[in-house]
Amino acid sequence: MTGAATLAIEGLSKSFGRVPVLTGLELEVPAGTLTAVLGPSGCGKTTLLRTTAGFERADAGTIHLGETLLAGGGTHLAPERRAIGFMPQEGALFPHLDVAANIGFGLPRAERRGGRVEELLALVGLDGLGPRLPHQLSGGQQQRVALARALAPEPGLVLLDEPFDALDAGLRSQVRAEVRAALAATGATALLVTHDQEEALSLADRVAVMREGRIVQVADPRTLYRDPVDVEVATFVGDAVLLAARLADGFAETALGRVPVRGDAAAGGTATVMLRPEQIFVDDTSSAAGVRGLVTGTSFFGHDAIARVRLDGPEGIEVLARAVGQQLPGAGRSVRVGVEGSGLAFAGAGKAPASEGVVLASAP
Amino acid sequence: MPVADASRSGAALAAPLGWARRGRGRTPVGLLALSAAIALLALAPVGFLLDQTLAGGWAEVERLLFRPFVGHLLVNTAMLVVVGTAASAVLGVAVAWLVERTDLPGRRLWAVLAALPITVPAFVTSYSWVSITPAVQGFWGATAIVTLAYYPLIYLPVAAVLRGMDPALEETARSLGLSPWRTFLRVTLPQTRVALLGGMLLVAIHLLSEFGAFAMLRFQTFTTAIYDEYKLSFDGAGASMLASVLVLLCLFLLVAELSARGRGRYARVDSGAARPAPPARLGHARWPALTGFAALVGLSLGLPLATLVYWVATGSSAGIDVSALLSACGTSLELGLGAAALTTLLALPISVLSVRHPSRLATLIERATYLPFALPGIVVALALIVLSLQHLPALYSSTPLLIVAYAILSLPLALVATRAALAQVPPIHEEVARSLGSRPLVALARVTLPRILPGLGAAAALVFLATVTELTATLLLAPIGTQTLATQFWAKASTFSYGAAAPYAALMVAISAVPTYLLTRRLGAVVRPPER
Repeated sequence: MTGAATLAIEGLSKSFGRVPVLTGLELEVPAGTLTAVLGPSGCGKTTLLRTTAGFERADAGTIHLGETLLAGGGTHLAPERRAIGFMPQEGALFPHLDVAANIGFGLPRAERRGGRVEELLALVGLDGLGPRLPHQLSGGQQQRVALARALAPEPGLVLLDEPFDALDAGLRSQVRAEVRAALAATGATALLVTHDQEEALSLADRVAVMREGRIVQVADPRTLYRDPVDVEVATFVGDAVLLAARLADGFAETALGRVPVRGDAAAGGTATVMLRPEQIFVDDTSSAAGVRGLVTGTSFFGHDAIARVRLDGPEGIEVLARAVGQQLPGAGRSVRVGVEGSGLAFAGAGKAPASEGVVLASAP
Repeated sequence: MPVADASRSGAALAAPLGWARRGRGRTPVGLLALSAAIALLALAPVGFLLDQTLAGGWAEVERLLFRPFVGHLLVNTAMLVVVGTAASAVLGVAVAWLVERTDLPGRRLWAVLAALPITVPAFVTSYSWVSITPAVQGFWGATAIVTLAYYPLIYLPVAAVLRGMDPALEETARSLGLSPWRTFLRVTLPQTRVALLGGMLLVAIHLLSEFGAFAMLRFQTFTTAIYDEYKLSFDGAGASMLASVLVLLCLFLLVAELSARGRGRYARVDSGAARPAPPARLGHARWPALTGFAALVGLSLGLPLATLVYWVATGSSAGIDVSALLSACGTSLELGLGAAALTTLLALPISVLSVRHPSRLATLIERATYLPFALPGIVVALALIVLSLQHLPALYSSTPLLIVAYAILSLPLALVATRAALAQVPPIHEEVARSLGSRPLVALARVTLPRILPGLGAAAALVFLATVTELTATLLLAPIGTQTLATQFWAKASTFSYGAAAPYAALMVAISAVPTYLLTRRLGAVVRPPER
């Protein structure tokens, strides 16, 4: 078996019947890193994983793992010859085998009951649970066994198919951290697919946003959140406030006043400017500066809260402002609205959604 | 619930099923060829029979079919099928409703007792009645006896639907002002439609196929006439011609059931967690209901078994030929086990194909193997005789040919059980095994096989059960000197040696009780929800 290797996918296409699912997809996962593919349901993420694992045949394009050609140019390496670990949704442990036998499944016969299995059990924090049967484990434990099973043969790459989806919210962040630690400890290259933007941003070294069968942006989480390539990516990875603007000299004239912009700022003319709700602050003290508005409602999340503010003026534009919970003025209060930092400009109004103002992330 | 990535399922739904779909992996050519060969084996004999019959030309058809005798058979058979099926339907639905949806005292026990007649072959039941009184011979007696023998085929599926039905439907109907009786007719009964029609089809086909019971009851149908023509007058052409008519009647029933079933989905098949319905209160009606159940169980189960016990007791005073009994028992077991092994083996590739690589071709192959199941055993036997005589004389009247006949006749039984078991093992398990380095067949053996063993056991038990109680094909195909429990019983019973026949029937029922018992436990395991 190989060590961690770089996955390189070029021009990958796959259709089911006449329905195209992957359309010329390009993606590189550097050795030893965790890349999350983030996309809405039906964008082809699972097909990408299954084609990489070799369960589906690619119609066109190539997949390389390290120096090895897995698929393309008439080659279709069988799944068992790819050295790619696969961790499916809900784990899919073999129910007739105990934990140790599950983990040892991919090892040569001689190693199945040896130290390697113990080592992996320790790696995922399940020492001593080897004799248990899968149904005697909690959901989170099953996921960790599934990961240990995938890592056992020291694959060049591990694929994780929405692995935390089946877990309750409370357990999810804990198992996420444990999986992250186990992957880091083995230095494995990992590719994870998810539709949960919070999961992708918090877990991955790099996030690839997938849409309609292709990757539209690959970046580290901070860059992706701050500088998405288009309005759709912007709204997919987080809540956004979109405002029509006129650009000049690196500034945008918007309903919230004059805001410094980056991105397509040089273009001039009309544009859409994206701001994150945490860049917008509200103040209900009478001496405050900024645009006038009325708080129409608040949502309290505990760690923070969001206020919905309708700006004074004929258009009745609404914006979102995020703040630490206790400090937000309640509904019905008159406030002043200001902006911190710079906005991201997207040239032209063409990409903007039909209505100006608040756009909530489409993620769950 | 996780939000599944819809790309795969969505695409699979949108794309029409191709002839051999390329979606989930490619259909392995070897598997496809093997399955097609098995389907061909199942279909070939009957196809050959039809071809031979028509090859004789129209004049021959006219000579052999347009006779008053054939008209007489047609009337007899049609009356029997219509009256017997209707009576079974009324009885089956009534029993199902009473045990599932009312407060009938002891309904759990009645539910089991009412299903048991299915384990006693109809020719044994008929023998019991005839040995008591010859008055049961003729149309009405024959119809009554086969109704008592076959109504569980309707009762069981209808009861299953009633059990799983959402009571909200009936409650809504009542709240809309329907009386209980009108609710039953307009809401409950339509819900059971698919199960009821399926059960009626099974009864009708059994009535067309049944040979032993009607021979015993001296009631002539196509099946008994085919046997007589072949066995007594050695008229192969005449028998083939009648068999072809029987095939057409079966096809007619299949098509009729399919078109009557309609397109609606009635049963609530998903999420079995429907709340149980509050039982209807019978009140004073429970006394006639209980009397009816007592009479039903007495007539359909008690009387045949009591008669059997009586004849075993009186017959044994005359001395039982123990060595003949044991030898027949051994032969039945051998044939049953052989057929069970072969049939389960044949069912496996077709199940894998249809469950793992669904396509229109896979469906066609699977359905094709169901057709001989709908055909009377006598037709398949006759077809195999004609085919072997003309092309493989070495096989004629040989044990392998008999076992092949059993396999053809019971392949669907094995398929249903292996399919159900296989469908419980998600393909992801095999995929994970392959990503861990197992080749496809190794993945199948290490991951899937251990989990479908109970299903394979159920398949083998079903086939064994059908084989041990099979009479018609055995009578026609068994090599000279090969005597099974069924044929020995038949030889004695048809010469009115009731006492001598009884031990064979008793042993046959006892042997079939074992797989029946295993099945009721095993099938529970097969239909259990998949483990996480």
